[in-house]
Amino acid sequence: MTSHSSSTAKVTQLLMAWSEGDQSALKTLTPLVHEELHRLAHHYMRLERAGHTLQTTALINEAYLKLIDQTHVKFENRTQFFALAATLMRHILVDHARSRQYLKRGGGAQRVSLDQALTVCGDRDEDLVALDEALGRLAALDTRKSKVVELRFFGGLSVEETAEALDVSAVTVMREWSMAKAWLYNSMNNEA
Amino acid sequence: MKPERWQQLDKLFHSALEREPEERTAFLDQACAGDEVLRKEVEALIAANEQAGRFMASPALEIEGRSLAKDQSDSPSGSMIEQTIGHYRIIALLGSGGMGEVYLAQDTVLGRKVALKSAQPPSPKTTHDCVVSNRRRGPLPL
Repeated sequence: MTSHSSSTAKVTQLLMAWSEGDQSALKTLTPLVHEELHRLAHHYMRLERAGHTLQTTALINEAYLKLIDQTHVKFENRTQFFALAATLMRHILVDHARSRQYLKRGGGAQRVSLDQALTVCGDRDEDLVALDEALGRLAALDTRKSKVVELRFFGGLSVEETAEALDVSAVTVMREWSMAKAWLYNSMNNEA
Repeated sequence: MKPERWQQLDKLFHSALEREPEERTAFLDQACAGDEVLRKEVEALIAANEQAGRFMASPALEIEGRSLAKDQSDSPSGSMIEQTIGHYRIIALLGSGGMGEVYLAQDTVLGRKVALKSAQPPSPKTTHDCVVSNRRRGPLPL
């Protein structure tokens, strides 16, 4: 067994434990996601320095697969597993974005220039914290749309996998996604 | 918003999108039947659908990975990445605060990852002041 597949099996096991209420699994999983984030950031920086703007879809797919590999999951648990994995990814990634933003503001203690403050508030399209809040507002209006976003955007699932997890058709997933995306975009930009 | 109202908005959004842009005004005139609030809401969603561009086009893991890369290359310590101090090759900035910064580094001798702490925010002058956490036992293996 390669180290890759054994670490994948470990993550899957931890996710299953978390789904059964084992809170210690979250503590173990968080550093694994962070490690993946740093590995990705490292790749992006290197590519950018080398002047590449490469398609990095394969890189992301590999990272998701490492963290969320459904092939180890028994069929009857798949739906629950997808949902949990996506919720967990959302939790860890949004937390990571929140502390990154906090650090950028100088840990809350240092003075920042107006320019810096604007940089922190900018890029709202890529602000996972603002998106998470908007997604919370969407969930209050329409649970299924928020689930579609959680599974696809945070969980990295394909349209087909999302459809399977929610027991709806792929067409429904696409429709829910497009309305959710438009609504979230407006919600985030109007809150600014 | 009431559930019926939300469903109506959902339905109108998709029905309008299925039509050619030039047919949408006439369609909404008829479908909203004088309900200006509803009409504005549908129009706002259609506009957002067109403006959204690359919004949520990449998964969250990629967005956060790229944001992290950007923060690291923007920060004064971003230049530390890929540098070698002794037999430690710096891989990434893990965190920073008033007392200094912590890096993820590869111990090229023992072939393991370690956390490296710099006592001050590094400048070229202070780079050599990088201290390894817990000197006696060596850096913390990750």
